[in-house]
Amino acid sequence: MSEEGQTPPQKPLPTTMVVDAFPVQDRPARDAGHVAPPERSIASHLLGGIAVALARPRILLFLLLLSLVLPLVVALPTFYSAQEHLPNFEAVPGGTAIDLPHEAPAWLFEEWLRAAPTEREVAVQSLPAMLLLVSLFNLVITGGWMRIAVKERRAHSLRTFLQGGGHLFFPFLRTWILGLPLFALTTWICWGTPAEWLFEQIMPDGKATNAPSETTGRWLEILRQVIYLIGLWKIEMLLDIARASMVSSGRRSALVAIVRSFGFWLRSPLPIFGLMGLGFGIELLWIGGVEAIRDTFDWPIWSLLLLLPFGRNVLRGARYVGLATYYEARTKEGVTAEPQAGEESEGIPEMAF
Amino acid sequence: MRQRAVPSSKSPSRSGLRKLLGLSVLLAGSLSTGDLAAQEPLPTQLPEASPRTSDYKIDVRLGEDGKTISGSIKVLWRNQTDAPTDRLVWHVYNNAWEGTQSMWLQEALRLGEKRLPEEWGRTEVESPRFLRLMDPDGAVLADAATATDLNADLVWEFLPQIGAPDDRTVAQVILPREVLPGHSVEVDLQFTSFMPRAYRRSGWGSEGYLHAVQWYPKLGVLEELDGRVQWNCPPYRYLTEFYSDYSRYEVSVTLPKVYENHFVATGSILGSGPASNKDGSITYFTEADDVHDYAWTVDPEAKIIERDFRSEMYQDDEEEQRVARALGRSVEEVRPGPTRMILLIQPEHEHLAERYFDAMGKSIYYFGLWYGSYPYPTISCVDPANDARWTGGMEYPRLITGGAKLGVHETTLRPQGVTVHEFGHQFWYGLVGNDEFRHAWLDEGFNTFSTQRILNLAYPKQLETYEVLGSEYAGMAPLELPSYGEGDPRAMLGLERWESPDLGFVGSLSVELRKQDPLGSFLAEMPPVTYWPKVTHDKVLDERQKMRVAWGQPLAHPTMDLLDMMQRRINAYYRPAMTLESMARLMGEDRWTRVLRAYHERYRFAHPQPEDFLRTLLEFGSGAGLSGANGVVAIDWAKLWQHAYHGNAEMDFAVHQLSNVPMKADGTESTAPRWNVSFSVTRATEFEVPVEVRVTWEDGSATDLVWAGDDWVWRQDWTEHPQQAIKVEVDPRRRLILDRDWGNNTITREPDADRAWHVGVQTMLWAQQVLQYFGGVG
Repeated sequence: MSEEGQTPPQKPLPTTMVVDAFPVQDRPARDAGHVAPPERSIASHLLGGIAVALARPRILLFLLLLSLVLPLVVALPTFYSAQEHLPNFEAVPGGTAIDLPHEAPAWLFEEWLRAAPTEREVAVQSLPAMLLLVSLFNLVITGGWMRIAVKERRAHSLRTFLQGGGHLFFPFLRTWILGLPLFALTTWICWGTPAEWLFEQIMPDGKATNAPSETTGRWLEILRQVIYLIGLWKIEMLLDIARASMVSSGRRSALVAIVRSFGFWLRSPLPIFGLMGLGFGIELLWIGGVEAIRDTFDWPIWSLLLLLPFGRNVLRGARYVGLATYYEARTKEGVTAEPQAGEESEGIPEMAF
Repeated sequence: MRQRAVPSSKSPSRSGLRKLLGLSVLLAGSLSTGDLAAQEPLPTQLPEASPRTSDYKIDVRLGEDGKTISGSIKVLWRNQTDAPTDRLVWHVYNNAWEGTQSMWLQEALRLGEKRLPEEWGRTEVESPRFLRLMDPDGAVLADAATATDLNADLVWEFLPQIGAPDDRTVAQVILPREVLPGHSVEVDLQFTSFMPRAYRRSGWGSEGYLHAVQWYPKLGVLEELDGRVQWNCPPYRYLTEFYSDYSRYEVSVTLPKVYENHFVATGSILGSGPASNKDGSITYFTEADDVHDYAWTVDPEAKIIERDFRSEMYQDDEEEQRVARALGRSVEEVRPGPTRMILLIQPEHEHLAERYFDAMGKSIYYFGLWYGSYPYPTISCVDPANDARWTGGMEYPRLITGGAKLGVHETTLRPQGVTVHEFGHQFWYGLVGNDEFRHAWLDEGFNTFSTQRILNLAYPKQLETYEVLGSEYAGMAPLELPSYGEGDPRAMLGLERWESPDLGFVGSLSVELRKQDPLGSFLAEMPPVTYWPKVTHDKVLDERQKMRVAWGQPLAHPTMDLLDMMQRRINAYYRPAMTLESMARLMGEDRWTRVLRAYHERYRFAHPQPEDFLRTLLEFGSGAGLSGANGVVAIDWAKLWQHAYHGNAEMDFAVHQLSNVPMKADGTESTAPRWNVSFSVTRATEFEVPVEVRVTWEDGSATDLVWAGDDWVWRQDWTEHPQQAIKVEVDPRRRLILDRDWGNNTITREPDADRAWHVGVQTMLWAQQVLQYFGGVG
């Protein structure tokens, strides 16, 4: 029933362009009232993600600040150790000049290590805890970007970003926890009994380093590392798809989301690899390109401290946004399924796996 | 206390000082007073031949399995001591691999060795017989074939060792007649050696490679030891290598046909190649004179490449002239003679053959130039099969093993480093044959000293590298990515492992979540951006890495009884090399060249003791000293030897303090500022040695002083000096490689604060990328 004086809602009609680009009549939409938008290429999803990220400078600034503050935990102790031990060293006559960061003799670092045998080790001791912290905080970042991509497309504020990520933290944490056995399984396959068995079929004592031919051993080892990397990468993709599906569908079961993500991945593995691969590829290009530009124009090395995390954060955000929009486009799961803040969807308890 | 101001030396400009500092380390030595008299002809000369204590005639066959060597040995042994003996004592070192009861493996297991031979080896001896006894003129005194009053059959008796009663690496036979001084005895025996799968220096690989070393029973050394003449023939020990007499070898090796043209050996191959036998096998007839061991290698998969060595291919005119001048000889006299280089190389390393030949050529050249020409007609180098690489990096007379690797960086000296080192053993171990059981430093130390110098002299500086996808790239991480093993809860934080304790109802759990492999590390660290791009190695200064470990025992301690393998590395290799390098830099290059040349010429084909080197050092090194603006200080080599060889103190000189106090002369205003300048230098340990001190003034000029180092503290004052001292540096020319801490060698008014800033930024960049990467994990 419509209110008086108000124009009744019109059912949107597909334009000619849409019909031409996307033959919806061949694939009936799941929701009779929903007309599928034109299918976008993976590049357009990624580029759209970049645009979404770049359009939110406050979020990027926050992430950049985090990227500058967190490494200080490792860098500051190292700096103070260097300040105490390095300034008085003189170059050896006829030897390499001490010209950091361009050139230095190896003995300088050796002398430093001897003078302060534990200081650099202590500095790096905080890194494992930092790794865990950033890995967990990344769940908030993922949630923030995906929610913006799917639910809060007009939101630009840092508060919305963090609220969105915070809201999704525990559901995402469950995917994170469920991911651990997958990582362990992949590691076991590539470095444990299955790999050992396979290597033993190829080499007498099953060790690549002991192969009769160094070439064989070397390539087997390279192959193993590449396969392992792809395996880890695939798990990351599954987990990210699962998160995208949770955001898109509003369902909070991590286990179901991972199963669904696996099915989704099986249906369209190449576009997903393409999307994520393109994202990582551009990130690598950014890293290499920025370094090349810095080197060419002789910018100070600290400029990388700003430029690298800026680009990497934009591209990470773009990957999450791109994946979420791609998932949504493929599954046509709309925003209506998303529960309101503080509301448990579908009655699934918070700790459901 | 008011003292007369010492005038500054004539070094008026910074550029002048830089030029002075820029002189090579080798030339820096020429500043010592020791070079002034180094022009007279060196009175020593190289011997023509060795004493040839034994003649071995060995006839063996390698079985079709490629692992079993069987045959006979006939040995003529000469008693060259002044005491009689009634026995012959033998090394049977292949028995070290017959089981964990051997002394070698007992010690290895005790010292934490994890790896055992995958297939054992052993040597069995049969039918040892006495053949003849002869007087010094060769007249036969007793002949088993004719004598009826002696039992020619000898009893082969393995000697139990303290701590390893079942060790069978030393055996003896009691002779039916005593062998008097100058007399000789001939015996023969049959033996079968089952070689182990490649393990610590010897053995076979899976595709036909066999490196036959310690494969036959070999006589020990009868010599004066601990004040009396006795057989010096210790069991094979974990921390030691070999020791035997110079001999003549005639060795025939019969091989399956597949090994034709795939054979290299200590001896020269007689004729144009192997002889073919009726059974399809082939026999190589070889001989070698003046060597104290015999090794051979076969590998049907490998290629053999040969090349002539001639001095002009590697000629270094400047060094030739310097050596000739130092020795008081002509360039022609010191120039090394020709020889033949033979390389047995794995096909997959064939592209690295040039690296091997280059290293062999440079080694033959520089070792020959410095110590005396390489006297043998051939040198063979073996590139071991990959699954037998534990046979790599070893030395035997006229045959060495290297070790190449695919994917190394262009500046990485592999296999050059190991090849130069193993070739160097032809001089230190081969030609000068010290007792490696007691004084391994006499070969390893001298050789490490020489090797590092050649690598510095003849090659571009090696860059620090990292490895990814099987290839090396230049760069060094600011910090090391942490990785924790099983049982370490920190591994959980880094998402490397899941660790849980034993909860009773569930046992303890340790699951690997993530492997930190090189590819993963690369993606996390982004080395092209975050690593130091150019960290260069100085091979001589790299020796100082071993100062990281405490020096547990003095150099004088017998090698075979050192604490562990690390102590052996320190005491046999790096500490003596640093000691020799420090001596050389204190003495000056020319004088040092004479010392080492004289030592080598005197003890070529001999078994020198450490005291023999000390005698040579005192004889040819005397007169050397350090000079400065305050005088000359002679170096007391005996005292230095006492500290370096018998003592265990590390050396450490430091600048303690530098002050510039403004002065007003006569209590009135001065038109120009004047300064009371004072500095003090300390010696922090017992190790006494003279040392130079350089004071640098505001205008860039410098004053070089010398301190005898005979007190704990040395202080110098200048009153009313027109300039401030901006820097005081102890040992500015880095003569004292043994000085354990160079960080305290300088006090400067303007320390380079930028270094810490650069280190901080680089570390932050590195940590930032690592966190960025791991932020995406999980």
